[in-house]
Amino acid sequence: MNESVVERFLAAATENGITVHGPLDADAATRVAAERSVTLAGGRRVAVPVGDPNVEELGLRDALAWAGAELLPASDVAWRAEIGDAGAGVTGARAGIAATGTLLLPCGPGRPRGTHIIPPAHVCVVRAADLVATIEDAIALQSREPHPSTMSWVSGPSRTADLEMHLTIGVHGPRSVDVVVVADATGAGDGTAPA
Amino acid sequence: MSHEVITPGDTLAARAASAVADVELQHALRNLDRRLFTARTVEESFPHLKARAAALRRETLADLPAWIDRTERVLDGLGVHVHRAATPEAARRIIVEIARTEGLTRAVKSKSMATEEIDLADALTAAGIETVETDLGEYIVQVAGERPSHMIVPAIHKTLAQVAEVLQTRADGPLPVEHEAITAWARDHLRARFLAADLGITGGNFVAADTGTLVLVTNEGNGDLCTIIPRVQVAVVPVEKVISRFSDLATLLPLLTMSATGQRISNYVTMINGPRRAGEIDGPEVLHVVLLDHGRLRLVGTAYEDMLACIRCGACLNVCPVFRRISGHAYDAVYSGPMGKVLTPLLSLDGTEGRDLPGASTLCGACTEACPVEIPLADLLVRLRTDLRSPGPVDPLAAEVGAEPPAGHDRQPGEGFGSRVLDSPLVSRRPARHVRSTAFDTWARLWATPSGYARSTRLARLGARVGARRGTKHWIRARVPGLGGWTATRDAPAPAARSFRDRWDARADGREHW
Repeated sequence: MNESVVERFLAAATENGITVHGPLDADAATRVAAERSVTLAGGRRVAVPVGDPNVEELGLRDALAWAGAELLPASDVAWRAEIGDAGAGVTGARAGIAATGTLLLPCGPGRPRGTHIIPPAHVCVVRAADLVATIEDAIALQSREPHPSTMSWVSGPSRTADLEMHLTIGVHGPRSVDVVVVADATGAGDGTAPA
Repeated sequence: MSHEVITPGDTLAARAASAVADVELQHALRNLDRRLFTARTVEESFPHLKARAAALRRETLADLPAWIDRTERVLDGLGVHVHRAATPEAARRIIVEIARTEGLTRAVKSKSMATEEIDLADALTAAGIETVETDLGEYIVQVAGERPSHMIVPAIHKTLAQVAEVLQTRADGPLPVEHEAITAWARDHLRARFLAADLGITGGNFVAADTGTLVLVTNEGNGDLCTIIPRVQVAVVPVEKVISRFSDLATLLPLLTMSATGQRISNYVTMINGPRRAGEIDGPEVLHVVLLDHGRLRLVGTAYEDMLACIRCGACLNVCPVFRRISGHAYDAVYSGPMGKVLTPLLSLDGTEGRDLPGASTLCGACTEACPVEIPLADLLVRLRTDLRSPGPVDPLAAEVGAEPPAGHDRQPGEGFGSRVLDSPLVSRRPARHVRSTAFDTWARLWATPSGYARSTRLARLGARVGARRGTKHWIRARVPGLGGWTATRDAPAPAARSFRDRWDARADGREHW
């Protein structure tokens, strides 16, 4: 992965009002994502997907539980009833767009649509290897894969300019978005480019 | 239930005068300045994207009925119920029927001009379905019993104090006049509606013919929320929102958000490929797409086809010197600003709506220049002025027959002012043609010599003194005899007491000093 793509992603996401972390190795990324989620949830439940490749690979659910989070997993039959009271939602992104600081969040079984938008805080993990340069690259990526029933692009917290064109954050969806970039196992993204 | 006329006045000119005299409105409209140069400031690639987008839109429009058929087949394959509505009445009937059949009672709605066009919220409310707008601006306008005054910023006409006053009617405690506090209140208030809704109503910014992907673009995230909890989703999509390929989004999506808000991308883009699938725990179980024609397809292949390229970004509103002074309500139409002035009479199947709108233009061409999909808005306005002289609805095909060729087609690119309106046959087509040409001939002869010019300006100052008696010191508000129709609605700045030439001569002679 091109290191400058990671840097541009972090810069664009920051510009959009996203709090960025990384790139971090898998252990550090897991720890940061878990701690941020617990802090932001403020004692309320943390909604997590079940079967999301990034979340599973990092063992993020266990890390969250270990960090003291009360989990609301997507497998819970009460998910729909409880999600409105959750304090934070954790997602894994299929990809990120460097030019715009955008996260691509597909839904599917175990990956509900509401995780990123209903709780007041959203924490997302994305692999540096999954970052693409432009919107065009992201559209091309989506064209190559089966389309999920919903793909949500998230480029920052919920915002409005409807009151006198004054920018206000958190109108419907999350007031905060955190993204944790997981460095390639080969070391790309943390300063040591792959061979 | 129809919306009341917000800005008082029976005619467009009277409503425009009320709007200009409305001190609070003029104060609120100053906020629109922040959207003046949106697209150009954010991205170097804009001109490149613009050219590509204009071509992509034309490619689809040239064969629109076929692309609509394909969209319908693909959506059908995804398990989406597709309906075709020829008129707003048909669309309302279809959607109310869906709600009745499914036993739905609580609807949440994301912002959509198409649903405004068919007056859907009122129709649902009348059918006993509680319908709540969820875009903050749209919600304010709904509570106030008004129409949106701008397609991207629906409540741009209200100051913060006015917003607080409107929302206070729904709040338990006193609502502070403060942006963050009002937003936080709206969040809590509307959140309960989202979680309890069984029907989500959306528009659709694009729908891709090859994949059936329905795209919703928002910054608030209310488009996402309207498609997560409700059991049933209905999307109202005007037929021209069809794009040929999913990959066209790479061009059209950033172009829309740059032009609308100056962002490289909106904070939420939702791409929906059919209803909830097996094993999923949220999203609509049932998804309906209502494809709305309402006179659009009859424009395909006519001089007005370009209007269907519109992606509803609002850029032409933001730059329009008329819109910036009077804002949306004075137009008394769903679509306002330059695109509204063209679209409203074209969509009026009985020919009663928006007949006076094409006149509310200075033909400065700012809209044409701002349009990210290169719609020649000023040219279409001129054409409409001609076509609307015949009674009844605009006949888009008649525009081709018997009319003079589209203005300026034989000219070189770059001539004129970025728009072809200056070559328009507008003046020559007026009935009192000989009177006008005599006047212009005299004018031309007079200004051909320095002494003639000097005499004419002295004469003008004399006339202005008469005119200014009925206006203010600096503005002439009089009706000039013989030019009543023209001058009744146009004020002119009064000439200075002494001309530049007089002052120059005085200084050159040494009678006055610099």
